[in-house]
Amino acid sequence: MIDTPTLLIPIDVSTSEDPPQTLVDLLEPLHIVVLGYYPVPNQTAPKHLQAAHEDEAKAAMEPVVRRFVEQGADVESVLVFTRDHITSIDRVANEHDCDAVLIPGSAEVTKLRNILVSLNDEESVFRILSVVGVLLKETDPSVTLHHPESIKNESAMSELMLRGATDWLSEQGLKRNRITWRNPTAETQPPDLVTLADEHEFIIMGEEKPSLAERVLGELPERIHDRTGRAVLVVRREH
Amino acid sequence: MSGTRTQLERTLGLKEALTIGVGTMIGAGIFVLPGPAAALAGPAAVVAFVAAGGIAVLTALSASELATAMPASGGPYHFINQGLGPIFGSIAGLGNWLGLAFATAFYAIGFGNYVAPLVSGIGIGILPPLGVSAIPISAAQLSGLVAAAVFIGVNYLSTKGTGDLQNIIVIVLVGILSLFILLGATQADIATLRPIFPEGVESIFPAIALVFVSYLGFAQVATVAGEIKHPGTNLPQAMVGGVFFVMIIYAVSMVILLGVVERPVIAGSGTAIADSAAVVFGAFGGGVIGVGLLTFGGLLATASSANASVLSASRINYAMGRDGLMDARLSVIHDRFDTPYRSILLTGGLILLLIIVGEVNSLARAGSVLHLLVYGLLNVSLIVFRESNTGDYDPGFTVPFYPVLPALGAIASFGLIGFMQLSEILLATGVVAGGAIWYVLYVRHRVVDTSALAVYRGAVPLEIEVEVEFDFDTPSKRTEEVAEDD
Repeated sequence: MIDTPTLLIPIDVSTSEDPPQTLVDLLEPLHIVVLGYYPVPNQTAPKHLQAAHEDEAKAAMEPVVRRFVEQGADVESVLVFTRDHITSIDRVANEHDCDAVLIPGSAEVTKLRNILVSLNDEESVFRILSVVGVLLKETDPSVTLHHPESIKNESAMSELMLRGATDWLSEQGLKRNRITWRNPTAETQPPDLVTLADEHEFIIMGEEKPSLAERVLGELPERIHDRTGRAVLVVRREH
Repeated sequence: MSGTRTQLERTLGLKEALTIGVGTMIGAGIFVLPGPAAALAGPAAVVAFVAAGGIAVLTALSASELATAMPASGGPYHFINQGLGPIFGSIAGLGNWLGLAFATAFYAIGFGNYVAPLVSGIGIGILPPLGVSAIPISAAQLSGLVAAAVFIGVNYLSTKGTGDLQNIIVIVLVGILSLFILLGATQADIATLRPIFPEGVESIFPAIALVFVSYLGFAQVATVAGEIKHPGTNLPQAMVGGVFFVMIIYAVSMVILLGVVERPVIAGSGTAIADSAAVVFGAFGGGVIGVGLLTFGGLLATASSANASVLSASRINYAMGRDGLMDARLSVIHDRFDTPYRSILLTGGLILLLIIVGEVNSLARAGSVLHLLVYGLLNVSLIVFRESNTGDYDPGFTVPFYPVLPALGAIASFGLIGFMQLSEILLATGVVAGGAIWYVLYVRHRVVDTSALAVYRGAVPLEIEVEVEFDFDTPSKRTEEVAEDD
């Protein structure tokens, strides 16, 4: 259980665009850390770029932070000039005790109808669900629950987990009719996460199990984002 | 500078990568150097070839790891620049580029050695008058100049074309040498190999230093790493496999060559293997055919070595331009031919000059010494990458027995320089000084050292965090809005 989850939102301030209003509305109840990063090319010193682009970077960051603040969110801002933004994301996520990291979507989303929730990391199922609970309390998109085990076979474990997750969410005050999952059978093999992600506007998932080189953002969330352009929120493990 | 940048295409497969390596190596080693090597060390020249190959294998392993971690065109120069910073990058770039230019000139004159007797044999009368003109120039040099000019032209026009050509050349060469080995094996007399060290055991070191130039080809594969498909597996296979393959061919051919002819006959000859073919094939009643075949092989081999080296040398200019160590205008890629044409022209000009002023053995040693310098630095660079453990160093292939093998590679490479003649040691020193001066005069103001070594020393931070405080004054704004609504 997390009461008010902290979410890290990394944005590339050299190219950044404003996040869509739908996303701001959805994420508003979270404690938000906006990490503006300005990529520093190889053989360039970060401080040179800082001198040249600090104002520009701040100007790119300001409207994003403003959007969340005006929505009433609790926002912290961090700006880095970095030669390796992945390392910076990891560091800031740790230093600010972030419970989740967002990969901002690139596709245009005007209305959030469906959110896909993957219970891919069994160790942090409750953490994932509590983020979902907080986000959906005051917004109205429906939720599709997904458990990767169900892809492989008609698994009783999967069904129990999905039913349990539904019960838990409804105890948090979510109406049952907003929550669905596909009952997996041998005939109707449910599509995998990447395909399923395409039918939803927002994806919430846990860390990949063998966390690659201690990286917060593993390969799967990136792939989902690259394939669908959707925003992906990755819930980190307790640490 | 950011945004879209023209990249070289990934068009070379394992076969092409292997043939670039084998093609460069096989020419110089066995067709030009057996004579001079035998003159230096006698039958121990065989040992010299194997020992030089061993040093090359150590560096090939390191180069494979580095190339799979950063598969960008530029080869050894690039790895050293990334690992040790722009000052060593400048030294390695200059050394690598000059080394390849010296080697190319050496291959071209080696080619000329094979052409010259043909030309005089046919009796073309234009050569003697040329020889006595203002610049004394031998027939071998003249033929080398023409051949080099042709290969510079070929490389100017296309990369893909050289890959195709190289494939055919390597197959033909391996065929000819295999035939030579098979026929020779029936008559080689091991007794002529005794004594193994007629010039003393220590004579082996200058011989290793001389023949080391025969193995430069493996690194050539690394210089085109950015153009190789699936570099994670293809690179180590092409580099290490190529060295072993060539080392075996060299060693066996040397044993046969020294087993069939008396050492004084071939000592110092630039076409020793063709000379011995008269004996090897003569026993089967085809002496003339044998000499013809091996001469053809010599022509093909030296030409293919020269060709591959032009390609690689120009790639170093290209990579240095890309990294800001040279004027970027040099690394411009041709719109139509897709080649770094300006680098090719500059490198080509230097090669032609070296052919005119150079002498075959000193060119070979110059090529060797500069590469030993570069390879020593390359092995050091790998150790720095592993130890600094910074950034995104994640090679697809890793050197076994780290740190023993790369350390051995560095020590052997630098150590062998000590066995060179004074002129070559001075050349290497000059390149080190020249690279350092170039760094101070040109590079220092333009490029920031963000190498693994600099990060390790803490000289360059990976990131800088900047204080940001946005004052939105939200509550008052909200109240205003509420007030207006009322």
